Amino acid sequence: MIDSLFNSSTIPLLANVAAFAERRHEALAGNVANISTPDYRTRDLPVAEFQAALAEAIAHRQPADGSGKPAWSFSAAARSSPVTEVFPRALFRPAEAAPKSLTFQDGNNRSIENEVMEMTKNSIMQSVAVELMNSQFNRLQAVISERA
Amino acid sequence: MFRSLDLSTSGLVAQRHRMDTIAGNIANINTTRDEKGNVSPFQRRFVKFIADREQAGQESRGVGVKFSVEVDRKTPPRKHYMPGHPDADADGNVALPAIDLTTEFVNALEASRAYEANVATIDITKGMYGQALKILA
Repeated sequence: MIDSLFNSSTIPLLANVAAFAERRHEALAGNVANISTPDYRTRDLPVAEFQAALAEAIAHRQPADGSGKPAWSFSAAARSSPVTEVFPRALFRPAEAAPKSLTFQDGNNRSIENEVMEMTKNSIMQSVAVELMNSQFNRLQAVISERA
Repeated sequence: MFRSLDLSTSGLVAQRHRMDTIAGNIANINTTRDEKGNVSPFQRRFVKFIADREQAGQESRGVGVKFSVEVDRKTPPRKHYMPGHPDADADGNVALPAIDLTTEFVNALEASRAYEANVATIDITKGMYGQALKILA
């Protein structure tokens, strides 16, 4: 019963979005730390792929087995981990990003403006996910305590 | 998630050491003797940055920065004609450290900006932690 309470909402999806944003922030922080390192190439997480997986998960809420549980449910994750199928670990692994700016003579393709902008967007993304999760939890709380 | 703070800290430490070497170079711009008192012009120090290696067996994540302080032994010393100087050679030339103030200042500017960038990153990280903790409220 408690499973369906959490899984019927988008909380598991939002948890993944927040986790992705936090992992991406790590990659971006590493890029800033290596701003003066020769031959360092900026790294990033596959954002487009993650967004595609997210869209896919929302488009196919109902799994083929007809159990009525959404494809991203937490309880299913514990058993056969469809969450990790929907969001494979590879989506959370940073790789050398496609060059967005010039490569300097020291072999580093730094772009501080780009990093900071991505970092800001990313942190807003995490903020959105956390706020939405929060409001869903609040709604559950309201139902449990029978008051709005 | 706490790793982002470690990564930014590695950047802060590396840039601060770079600043330290620059301060040392500028302080020793006219030094003609080494610490034992022998006539030998000061050799310029600089920091070499190396991207941190990922730990074996761990999955790939953001990488921090490592550094080492290197000594420039190649650049020949500047020669200044000062025949009265006690450390002058037979021709009256004094060997001064191969330190260029302009280069040092440009590097200092770059180091302080890079330091700032890491501080800004830490600010954003703290904001994200704060957000994540809101769920616990």
